Amino acid sequence: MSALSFLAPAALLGLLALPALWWLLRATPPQPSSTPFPPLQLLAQLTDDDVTPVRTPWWLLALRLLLLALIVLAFAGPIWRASEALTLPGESEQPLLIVMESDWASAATWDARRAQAERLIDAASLQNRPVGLVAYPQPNQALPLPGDRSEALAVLETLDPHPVEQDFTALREDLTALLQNSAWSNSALVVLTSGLANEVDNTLWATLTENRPVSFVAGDPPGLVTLLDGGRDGPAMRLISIDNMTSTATTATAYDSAGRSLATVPIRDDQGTVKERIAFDLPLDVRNDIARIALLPTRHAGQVVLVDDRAERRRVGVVSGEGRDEAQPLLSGTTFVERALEPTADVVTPRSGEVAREIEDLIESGANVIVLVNVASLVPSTVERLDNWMERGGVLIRFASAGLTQSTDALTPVPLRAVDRQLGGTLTWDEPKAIAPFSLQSPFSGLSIPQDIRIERQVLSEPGALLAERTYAELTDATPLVTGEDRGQGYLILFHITPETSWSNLPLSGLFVDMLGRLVNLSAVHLTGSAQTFAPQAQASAQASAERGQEVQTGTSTLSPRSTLNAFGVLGAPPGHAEGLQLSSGITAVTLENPPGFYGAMDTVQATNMFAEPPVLNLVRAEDLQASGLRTLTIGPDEARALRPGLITLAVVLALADAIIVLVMSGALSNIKPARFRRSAKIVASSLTLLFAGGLSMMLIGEALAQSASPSGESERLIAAASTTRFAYVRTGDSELDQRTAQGMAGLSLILNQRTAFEPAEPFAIDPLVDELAFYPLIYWPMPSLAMTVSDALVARVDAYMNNGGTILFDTRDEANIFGTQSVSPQTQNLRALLNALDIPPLEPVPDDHVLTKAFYLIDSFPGRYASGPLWVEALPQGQTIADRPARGGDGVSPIMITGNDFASAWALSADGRPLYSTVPADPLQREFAFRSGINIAMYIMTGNYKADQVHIPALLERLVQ
Amino acid sequence: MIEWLGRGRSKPLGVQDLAPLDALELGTRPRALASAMPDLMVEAKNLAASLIAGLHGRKRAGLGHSFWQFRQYGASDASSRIDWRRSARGETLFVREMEWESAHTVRFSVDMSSSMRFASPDAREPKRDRGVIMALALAAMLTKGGERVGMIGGERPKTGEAALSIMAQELMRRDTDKSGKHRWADMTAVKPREDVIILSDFLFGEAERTKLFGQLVSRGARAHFIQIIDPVEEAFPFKGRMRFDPLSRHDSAILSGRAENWREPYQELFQGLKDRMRRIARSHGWSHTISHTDRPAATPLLSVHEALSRSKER
Repeated sequence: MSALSFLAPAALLGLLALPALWWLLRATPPQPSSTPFPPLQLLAQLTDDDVTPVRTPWWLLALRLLLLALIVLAFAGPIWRASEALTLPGESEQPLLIVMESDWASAATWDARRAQAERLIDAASLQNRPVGLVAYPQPNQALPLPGDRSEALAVLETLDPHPVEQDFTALREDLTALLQNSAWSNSALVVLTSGLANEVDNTLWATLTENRPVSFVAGDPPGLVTLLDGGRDGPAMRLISIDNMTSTATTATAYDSAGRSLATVPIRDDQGTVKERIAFDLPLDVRNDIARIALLPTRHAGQVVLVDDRAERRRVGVVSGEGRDEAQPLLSGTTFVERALEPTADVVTPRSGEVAREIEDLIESGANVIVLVNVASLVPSTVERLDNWMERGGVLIRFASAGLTQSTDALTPVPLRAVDRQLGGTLTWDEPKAIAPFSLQSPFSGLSIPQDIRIERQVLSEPGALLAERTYAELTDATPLVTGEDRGQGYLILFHITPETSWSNLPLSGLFVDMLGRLVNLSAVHLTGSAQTFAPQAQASAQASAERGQEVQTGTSTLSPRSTLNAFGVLGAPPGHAEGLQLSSGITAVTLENPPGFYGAMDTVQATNMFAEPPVLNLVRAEDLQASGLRTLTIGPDEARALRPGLITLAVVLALADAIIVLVMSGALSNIKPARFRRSAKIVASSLTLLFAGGLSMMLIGEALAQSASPSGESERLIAAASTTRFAYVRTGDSELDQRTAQGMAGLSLILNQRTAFEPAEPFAIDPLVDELAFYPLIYWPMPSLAMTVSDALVARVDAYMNNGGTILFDTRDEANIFGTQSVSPQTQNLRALLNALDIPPLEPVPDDHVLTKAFYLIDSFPGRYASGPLWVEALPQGQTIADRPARGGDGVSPIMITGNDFASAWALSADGRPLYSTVPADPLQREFAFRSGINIAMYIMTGNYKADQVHIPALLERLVQ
Repeated sequence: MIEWLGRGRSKPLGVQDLAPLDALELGTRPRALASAMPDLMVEAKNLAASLIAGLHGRKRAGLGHSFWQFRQYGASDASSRIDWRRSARGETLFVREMEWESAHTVRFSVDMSSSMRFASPDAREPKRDRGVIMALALAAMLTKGGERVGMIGGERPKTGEAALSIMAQELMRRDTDKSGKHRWADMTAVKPREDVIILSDFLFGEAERTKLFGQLVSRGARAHFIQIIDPVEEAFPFKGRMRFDPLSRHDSAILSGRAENWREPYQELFQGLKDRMRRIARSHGWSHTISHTDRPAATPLLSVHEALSRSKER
């Protein structure tokens, strides 16, 4: 072949048009500016010393002709030094099938491979041979048919390497089937190998080459291969050199899940040899963030390892029943537990306030350990779920609380006595106790006990045979401090103290941290029985329905692909053919459908890597093929230079030059002054501003539309509830009672508006199961006389409301019905049913010094329609009574108040402001006191212990004077 | 780019933004004189009024019935001519003798060739309009002084307001026709010692100019040249490759490769034209005034008026 050839020689005919163009160009000089000018006769007198170029100057003409010639040449597609022809196997007219290996190893040199395929296709088309292209492995590949060059090139466009190992057995089967197809039965083959093979290889090619002309093109070996190698020093990378060849990669870099580079280390040591293992010397928390380690520059998927968070760290969920901890979060038990657990585990602290749901969510998300802080009672369904979870290896650590002794659930390792024990108080003889040395059977054995730890209060267990063996730690008087019990593969552990410092100073010590660490290590890293740890998104959402639990136990679960590696080692969106990862079979092999990558939902990502074990890799070089009697074909790098891009570039440059020359000749450039630049800059700036402002306003309009679209009837009610403070009352379904309650709450609101600065809006009737409770500071809940159903959902919502700072005023309205201690009214029965399930603090009748008695009016009783019943509130902390303090408020507001005095009937006013229901006994003063009670309750709820502080002002002033 | 930059403006030059050929089509833009005339008339009268007001109290032009002398009453004098007021001061009777004078005649000629229709962006009005305004304003001022005014080749010069409207009509009649040439009217009607005011850009050919001057000299007229100049014609602010188009069909366009190179020689030529005009005027005792269309017409108008007064005194 000649040194210069053309792809489209016909285009050269365009050169014939050049003379015509020359004539045209000469005939049209550049257009001058024109202006009328009266003193033409004067101008005519001027000598023609500066000759007007009526004609285009010759050099400009030459420039333009050159420009056009270049364009014509470029269209002809000249190629400089087209490479020598390839000797294709087989005779002419025989169809040619190109077989490409497109496995991970081929990705390293995929561009070269593709160029080789292109050259083969070109060569075949030169010989007028039908050509087809097939690649293995390749998903959804249409069977190729012999076609022409453009068809084959189109197929080549669609081929990509895939990050899987070559399955030679499948390759042989597929290829054999394809070759038996009549279209290819009489074909010649060219095989582009990836440069790697296994033993099957030679026989494979031998069967194919039996009676066909076949040529092989050897691929380039893929360089280094890496494996994930965990260890004490965090995720590391093992390097395997296939061919001892010098690798192009120079460094290894660790990335976190967001793709940020964390650390980079060279892969060679000082002597220049490639290290076998690469670890990253990083702080622990940074090391835990490593999600991907890649060799740079990355050549193929085998040079990237992905790291998931299935590390040794367990997930611990801390569930607190004390929403009111929020007032002083740093003193709460949750904080102590969190801080103590942080070094050993991933701590999750849900804050929804609904204990049951939090526990469910934690179990769903695969927590290994759940810590219950200040949770006294659990609903049966939750207990069942926790039991189930412990059977599978979960560890439940429970801390005692004041309410635990009254707990109705059985989730304690030992039965508890109904009273706790206080040591070292004013009314006790005993000194606070120290901790006895741990026994050898205890999980704490070997931990040293600081001498200054003292336990002042503990819950006690009923003595029993099992107590001794279930005691993990005890005090010096042999009473239990920590008890535990095996539950299936898991444990149920009870600390007989609270996790904060009110009962003991253990939580302040390092021993506490060590003890919790030991307990966390009791849990199974992977809970057995299901792959629930890595619950996939789809299933997780399905499990949100009521009957989760059972479903999880059965069957295998599937993880949807999240992001996967392509063959070039780039992490990206999963390809279309990717499928969910079946977790049934332990270690999952990488397949076409399961490319290496991250699988599963956000919290439970599982990573699969190109290689889980060192791969068996045999190099196949050209000489190896020749040695086994196969014909090889060498396709050198394509050295042909297509001249078209250069020609077009040159033509563009010339066109620009021509434009500039024309401008200069017409004098346009000399007119450009700085002022004009400024003006055009201003125009550009203002148009940009306009564009920006336009875009912004579009966004704003869109947002406004979106906002105006949303509100409807229900949300209007929510907005009303949120925008004005108001009371709520529970709709019981008893219409007479509901009407009375509505009148009563309206009456109280009216009186509050009249007398106080607190002006509540009209009260709302709510259904605690349906309506959002968060907006209301006080919910008045009259107990109906009909039986009430107490569902878990109701309990959970009410619990959450109280935990989050709301107050419920229960009114049994039965003060008059009580004829004796034996009889219990249906209202009270309803209340008991509800309160049994609720996690409520200890209660007491309002003491004389309670802030409720001084919140607005000074009162000593809380009468409603009936005067005799007490008002029960959360018991104030004991032992803080100080004589000179006239009022105590405790921290926060009592979440619950119980009365039997039928407040609502006393508060009920008619439209003209007259009372509707007489008090019992009929006494106007009692109604006044009923209103005062209501006002004090409202003030107490709105202001908390502020009044208690305020009544100290005289004392404070006195101190200031001193 | 068909564009030149004068004083930061980038409006193309043009006969009131028109292509050259369109400029010759009468009745279209620029406004035919007929339609422009009321405006021009008003402008001229305003101009005259402001100037007359300005003249008052300084130097009365003396075109009125001025006092000549008192003379002793003689027998031949009619008794009605006795000036009783003067006579009452003494013993003798005096006769008030007025200067003998007849009303002066001033004739106008305004160039209506197509080159006069040119106006560059900086000009206030086309040169033709400037010519008309100045002619009418002068006429108004003169008729105030009782002079006779008229167009050369038109009706007999008249006094008073009527003369103005007659002049206006004749000017309209003489508006540029298709030929784009101005036909200088026959000067034979001009009598010796009459004032002739020529308003033109004097850009017509040398031969025509000589012929015109010859006629004026031979008629013994006192000529006053008002040369109307567009700013572009003097500044020549062109650059680069330019084609200069003619305003009449008799000329052909001139192309310049680098117009900026022509500026100096052109300006010399133009200056030469002005100098020549001034020289001719001075040699015959005539006046030569330049009116730039980008400047107010009042100043040149005043100096022409002054020149008229001076010429009359002679």
